[in-house]
Amino acid sequence: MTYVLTVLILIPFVGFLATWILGRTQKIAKWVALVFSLAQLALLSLILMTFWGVSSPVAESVLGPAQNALPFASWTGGYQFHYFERAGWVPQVGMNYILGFDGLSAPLAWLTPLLTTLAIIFHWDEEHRPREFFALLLFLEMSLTGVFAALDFFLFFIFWELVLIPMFFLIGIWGGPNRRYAALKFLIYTHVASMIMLLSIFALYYTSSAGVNAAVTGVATAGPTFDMTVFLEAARRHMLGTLGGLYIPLATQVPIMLGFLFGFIVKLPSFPFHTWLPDAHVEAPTGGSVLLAGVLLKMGGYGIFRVLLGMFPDAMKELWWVLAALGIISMVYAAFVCLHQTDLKRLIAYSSVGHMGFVTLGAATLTTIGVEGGIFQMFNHGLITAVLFMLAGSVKHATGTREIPKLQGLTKVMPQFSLVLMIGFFASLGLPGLNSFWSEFMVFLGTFSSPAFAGWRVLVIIPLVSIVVTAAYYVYTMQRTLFGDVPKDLEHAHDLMPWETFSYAVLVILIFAVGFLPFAVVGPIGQYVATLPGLTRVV
Amino acid sequence: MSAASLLLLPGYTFVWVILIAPLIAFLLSALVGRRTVEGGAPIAIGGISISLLLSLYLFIQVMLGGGLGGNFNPVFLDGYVWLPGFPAGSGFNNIVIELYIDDLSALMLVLVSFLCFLIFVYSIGYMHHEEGKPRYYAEVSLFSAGMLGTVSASNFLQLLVFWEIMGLCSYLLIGFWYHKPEAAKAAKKAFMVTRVGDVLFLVGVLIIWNQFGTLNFYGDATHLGIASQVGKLSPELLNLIPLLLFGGAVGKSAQFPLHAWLPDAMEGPTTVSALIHAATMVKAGVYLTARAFIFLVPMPYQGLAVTPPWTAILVIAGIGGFTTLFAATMAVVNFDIKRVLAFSTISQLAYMFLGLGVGAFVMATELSSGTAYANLDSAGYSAAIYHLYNHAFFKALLFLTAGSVIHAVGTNDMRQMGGLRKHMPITSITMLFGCLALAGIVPFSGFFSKGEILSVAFEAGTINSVYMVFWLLGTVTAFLTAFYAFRLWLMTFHGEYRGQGHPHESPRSMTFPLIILGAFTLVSGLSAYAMGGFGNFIFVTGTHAEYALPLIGVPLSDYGLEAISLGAALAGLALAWLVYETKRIPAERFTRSPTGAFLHKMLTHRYWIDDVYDAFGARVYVGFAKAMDWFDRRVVDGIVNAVGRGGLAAAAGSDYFDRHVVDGAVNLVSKEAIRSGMRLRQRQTGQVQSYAWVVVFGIVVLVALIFGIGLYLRLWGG
Repeated sequence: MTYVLTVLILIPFVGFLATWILGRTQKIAKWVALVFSLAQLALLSLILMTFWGVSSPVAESVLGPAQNALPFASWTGGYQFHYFERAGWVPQVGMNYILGFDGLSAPLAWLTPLLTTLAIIFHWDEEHRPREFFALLLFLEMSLTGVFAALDFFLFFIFWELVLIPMFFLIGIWGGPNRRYAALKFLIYTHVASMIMLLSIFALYYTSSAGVNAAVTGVATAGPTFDMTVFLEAARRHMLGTLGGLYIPLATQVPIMLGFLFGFIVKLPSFPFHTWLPDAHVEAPTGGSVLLAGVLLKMGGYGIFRVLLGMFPDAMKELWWVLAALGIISMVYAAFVCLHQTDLKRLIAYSSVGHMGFVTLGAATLTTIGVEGGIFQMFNHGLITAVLFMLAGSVKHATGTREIPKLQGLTKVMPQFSLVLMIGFFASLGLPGLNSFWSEFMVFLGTFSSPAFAGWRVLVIIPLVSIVVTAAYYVYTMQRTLFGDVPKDLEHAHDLMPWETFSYAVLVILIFAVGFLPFAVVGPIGQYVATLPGLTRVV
Repeated sequence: MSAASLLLLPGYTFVWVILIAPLIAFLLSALVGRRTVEGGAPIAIGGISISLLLSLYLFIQVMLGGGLGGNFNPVFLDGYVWLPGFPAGSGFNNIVIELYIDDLSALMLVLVSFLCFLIFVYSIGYMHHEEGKPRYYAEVSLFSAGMLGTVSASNFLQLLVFWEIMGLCSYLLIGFWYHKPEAAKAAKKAFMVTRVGDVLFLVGVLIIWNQFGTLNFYGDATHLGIASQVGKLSPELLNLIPLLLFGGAVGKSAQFPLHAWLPDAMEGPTTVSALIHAATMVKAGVYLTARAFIFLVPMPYQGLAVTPPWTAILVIAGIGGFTTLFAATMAVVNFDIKRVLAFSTISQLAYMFLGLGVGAFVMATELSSGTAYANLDSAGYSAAIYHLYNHAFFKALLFLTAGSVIHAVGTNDMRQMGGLRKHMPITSITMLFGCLALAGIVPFSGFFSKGEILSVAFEAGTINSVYMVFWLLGTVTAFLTAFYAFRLWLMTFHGEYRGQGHPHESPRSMTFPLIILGAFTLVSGLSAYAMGGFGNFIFVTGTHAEYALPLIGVPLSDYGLEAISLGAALAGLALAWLVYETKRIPAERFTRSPTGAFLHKMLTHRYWIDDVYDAFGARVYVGFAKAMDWFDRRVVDGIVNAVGRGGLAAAAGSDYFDRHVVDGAVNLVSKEAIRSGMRLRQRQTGQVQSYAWVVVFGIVVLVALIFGIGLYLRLWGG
């Protein structure tokens, strides 16, 4: 038994406290934060490597042997977690402390310290309340890691809500001129969504959990539970026909699933619940935006893949079209809205809405490849959008504006910046060979091959429109900002700072690496998807 | 086993190096290019030289192993799995990167690496005075890797990936002079227009994967291939798939209606126009359509003949036939030397599509009349590839000579040239060779391949009279081609010099490639003729129908048809001579009548198609985006804010109710509470971070409480 997952929650938490307590000067604060975040990144990288079957003496001694644990010793197969911890919390009411990493959570959890570390580095010259700033980044890191690791609904919900606090303050204190409005909108909007999700959690707990728990554990008096693994396993056996009793009836699944869905698509966000996002991003500081778009949005996607697909297979079979419609509309709609933005950061924010549409659509396909593509898209989007938001920060830093009409000829004065911008834009528009091409391609393959879509296959054409429009707004933006002569007031714009260059270099290398070797990420994801119930292996 | 086959190496692994060498050159030029002479030129040339030598070696291997009358069994070179998750027995292949070497790809590898090599050498002189040379050499190296990868891909997806790498390089190189607004606009246009085609291509790939579970053109013992199972498609899909692939080709090869980007792409350096927009990248569409022959001429399936996709064949031949003439007419009125050549490229590419279309038609007809698959007459296919091969040489030559002229006189406008024959003898002679080849005058290369295409078109016309229209279009175009080719040459090199400055012959690094290419305008035609047709020269007459189409070259036998196309070309040449040399017929005569003036205006405005596209982009596209943006800010977000205000109003109402009704009752008993409230108020400092502390503290307390309860229950509870 190892406690590596608990350690993963504790490192950033201790880092948060240490930064706050020790960070008397900016220098101390950022170094302390960086050290803790790097430690977290190193540990998670070791964990991610175990998914590739890479095991080294170092990893063994730090992590203990990879467990491939089943949540309950009595189970003979089914959901396996590479790392798994369980402890009673309030077992009388079925509330437990359960953490686990599998192919779904590990890649997303790995993004968290990566982007936190890079955000810290990117803000190396942050002078406005640095102690609080870096401390809050670590607090955010802790809560996000918790969301991806938690396998008990109550614990999950606590972490889910904890995420709001640091982000609220990051926007509210370090944000732009309209930060109060944006921060409040973000907090209230996503909090309302969380409340509805909480209702679903309770509904699940009171209506079904006792029966499901009894069926799965084989103990008639097992009682109600918040244990997510119980639901996952029950749904899996239900789809295989090996569950000893009835699973949650469809009539119960549907309303509960819709409650969860609302919670998730607000976070994702999906049309029409996306308007908190552009405001939050435009006002947020760069590091906040990077984590907001890079990891925080993925909570919604994570929920869709973990909870909706994992626990409500029957409801998903009925309501896949809701997700499909939301995904498709988000993709096309956001692409057109992007075309008309003049604020670079707002443009990138809307592009996130579009790219998250692929996630929803991928889940809606109910096919292995589509779901893998959706999860992979989250990972890729995390890398790319981090670059893009950093770019918006760099250009503001260097020229004092993010307004596209005021920028021109940046290739001349900011060549490094321009190179990164091109790479980021082309990666984001899905240029074949770069990472997000693969995930988008997989989602399209899934959509096209999905039996659910059988009669609707023609609809694939609609999201394909978004590919053209996406290319249009990026290429149009490049034409306006990078090309042309340099206007007078931009002549003295400085190029990237060394710490900025470092952050970009890491991300760009990863974008290329994942583009050339997509299997490295698709492999672990596939391990998770293979255990999901009710998916069609069309391809 | 012949003695020659001893030369065959056991493996073909070295083929990977053909791709990797320019890729390494790309990285090196980008990283250390500025430290070398000429900003990375030696690196780029070194990289492509390796590719060229290995490609030649491979080509010889392929010839010995099967070219010239034998059978070369295509080779798969496995790379690695891109996307895993399709286990054996699932009916689907993993998505992999792997190379496929057959006679077509071996030929294309040599062609591409040879032209890249020559043009890189030429660039030393041409780009000598430019800034940003490392960027240039890095991008052209990446481009060559992309093109080499495109023609050696084993499957449609890999082809698409490398295809897009080329598209990216094309975008970057068109915008090489990024400070010029026209260049920026042209780059954007090129990327967007080809992107439309790419999406069609992508849909085609999706359908193929969905239907076959593999994307490989051909299969073997260990690879699942498409070719042998095409027959299981429904007739609609059998038509749709090649059309979608052709859609990609239309974008990349700038055929009507996606042709508009190519003339504008001339904003890039002339070397780029020669390499990417004449000799190589735009040919990728032709190559793709040639690969799509597995759908156009489907193999028998389970012993039964499959109905060929007539509609798709007709569309391909039709677009080709129409675009030949359409583009040639626009070339006639243009004064920009590079744009004339760009329109000419569109027109010549259309000949290739015409050849593929009519060739497929003839083969499909034979197939449905019961001819065995291995005995099909693939003359159209061979002729189109032959024209691709010839055109690559003579059009690269034309662009490079144009570049040499532009280098000397500093303008693209032919009205400011003239009389350059005396100043630039080598350029003048080599360009004359290029023009003769383009016009199709015997014995230059264009004559042979264009003649073959037209004779196959005529043959198709005798089967179905619709195709006779395409033959007619092609023949009229032959006339116009000769006319604009010599209009260009005469305006540039004959008469009096009309510009300023002192033109001079270009340096040797530039004239050397010109001479080589000039020689090829003769060699590439005559050598094939001696071999009894290009097909026999390159491809085999054999029966490996398992792997590839049987490719048979036809020697030129139909002298009547050859005479007609040659006659058309000579007439065009004569007209150009009369108008631009002797001035017997002044050019103004054509525009004097109202109809003539209108025609002239229509042609100079490129049939207003670009204007329509621009207007569509600016009005419809952007207008729709504007409407969406308004909708988002006002309606979607408006509702959100309204809900927010509603919440505040409800809160205010509750507050009123609470203060005046509920609290009125409570007030009586809450004096103590108020007092403690006063104390708490002092803690409300109004600073955000102290709120943060309170929230954090609250959560810590909450968690501690829950832990505490848990512990309590565990220790003392039930």
